[in-house]
Amino acid sequence: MPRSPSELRDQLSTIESDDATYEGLGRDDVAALTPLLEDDEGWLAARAVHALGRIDDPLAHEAILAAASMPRLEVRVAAATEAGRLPAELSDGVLLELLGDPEPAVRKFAVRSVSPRNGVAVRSRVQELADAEPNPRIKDMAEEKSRST
Amino acid sequence: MGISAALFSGSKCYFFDGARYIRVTRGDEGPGTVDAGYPKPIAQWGWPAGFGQQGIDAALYAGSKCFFFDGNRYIRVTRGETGTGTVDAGYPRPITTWAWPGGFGQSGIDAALYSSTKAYFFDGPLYLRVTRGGSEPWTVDDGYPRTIADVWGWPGRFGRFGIDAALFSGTKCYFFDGNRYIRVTRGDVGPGTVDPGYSKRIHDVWNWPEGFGVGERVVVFFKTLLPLSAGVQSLIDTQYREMRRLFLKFGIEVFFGAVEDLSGNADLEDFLALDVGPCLLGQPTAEHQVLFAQRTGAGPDDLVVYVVQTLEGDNDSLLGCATHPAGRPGAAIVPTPALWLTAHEIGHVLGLRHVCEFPSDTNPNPPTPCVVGSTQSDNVMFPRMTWTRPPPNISAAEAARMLASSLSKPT
Repeated sequence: MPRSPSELRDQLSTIESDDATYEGLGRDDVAALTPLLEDDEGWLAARAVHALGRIDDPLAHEAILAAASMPRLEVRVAAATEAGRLPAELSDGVLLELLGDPEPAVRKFAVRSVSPRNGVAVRSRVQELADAEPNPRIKDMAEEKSRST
Repeated sequence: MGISAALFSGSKCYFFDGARYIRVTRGDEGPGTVDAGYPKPIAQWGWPAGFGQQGIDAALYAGSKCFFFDGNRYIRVTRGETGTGTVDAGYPRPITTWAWPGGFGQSGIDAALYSSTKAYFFDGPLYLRVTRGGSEPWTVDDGYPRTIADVWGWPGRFGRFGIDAALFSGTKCYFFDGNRYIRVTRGDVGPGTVDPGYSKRIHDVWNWPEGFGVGERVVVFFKTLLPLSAGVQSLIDTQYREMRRLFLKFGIEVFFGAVEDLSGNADLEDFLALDVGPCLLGQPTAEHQVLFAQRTGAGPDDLVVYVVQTLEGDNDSLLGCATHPAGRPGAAIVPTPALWLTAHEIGHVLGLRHVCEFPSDTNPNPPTPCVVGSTQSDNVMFPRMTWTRPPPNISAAEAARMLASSLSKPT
């Protein structure tokens, strides 16, 4: 049974999230979660991305892909984190977008999500960051990631 | 630490400090004499269950009626100069009954002041004046709320973020802010004139019983990775004000350190999204280590709250996280409308844990499962920001734990 928007909001309002934050969410909830990506409150939009990332459903995956190009930083950061849960091909799509994000905070979490299952194009992009990223923390992360992937 | 409320009552006045109060016999000026047998527990007032059990925010004399305010509720009491009187039928009522404009006092007020045909209410840096007459709500005078700092002319930093209590006293009024107070000569309206020599320390003058109006204090600084816009300033002011109001009831006075805008620091730009790892106490991330080293102006035991755009854990985003490196006490928060988010996080820093846990697949039988609508969801340490009867509460045991923290210091 799908949750109502107010039930979703309550459940997602955990201050320090834990497994219970996403307990029981499933395909029935995708339709109510997707509009939350554009909620006025950034924290809720980010939580919705994380919730969708835990639902194995094509519409949920599509929503995360869309989140990767949304204007709010916290939404794109959440999409970067959730890229790690997506099927490899979709993960590549999200990460290619976010590894080139203008915000260092987003690039950082995109680098963190890269894994050996990601394709050549993603790993090449990480190598580019390892070579030329201006933020030293992200550059270090990219170098480390290049070595391990 | 000072008091949370004061009540004029003819030749008597009452001061409230958490769950205790004293009655004082006095004239217009001077500290008067604390009546024998005080302090007494606030429970002696016989207020309705759940109202003011651990303290009140404000009290207002209004002739044969008195009003007491606790969070977003209030009661009206019929009484004489002494005695507890009788709570009028139909109370407590929601504070929204007063129909104050512009969100004023929505989650409670700090102080109220009788002033003959007028009454004043104080909420953080704002106040409003009403013309009394008949049953409440009374009529809010045109042009209110106004900013305390724009009108009252109080000295230095006194009342900068609001006051804790106000006391009518004939030709004088007294205002209390933390461990200091001022005396003001004034008529029914207008700010009057602060008497020379004020502000003064409460305990240098008022001769209250040992331990009354005395508690612990913490100092909180805010440092923002978001540009310090009006919106961010408002977030910080609100978080501070609600935390101070809540903690004050339980014997902890929160002092405001300063705000610092770190948004121009290129070395910290990627911390707009802060990696907080598992967000477990004692397990700071490398990013915690770097960001929490930014403590300009803060002493070793002062608390620093970092405002960031988002907090990203190992698998998820968080709204607040109290993880901090050893020797750098503080927490990080993101912008939310949750008024007590900072209070929740500072509660963690001062030693409090969540009051309950929600069950999940990985933790199907938590030792204390959360029950929404119970006293758990009234507590500031409820794990969700959906407190059911705001403002949230703190238990006596939790208050004792915070007072025992090495980070809280005697006032």
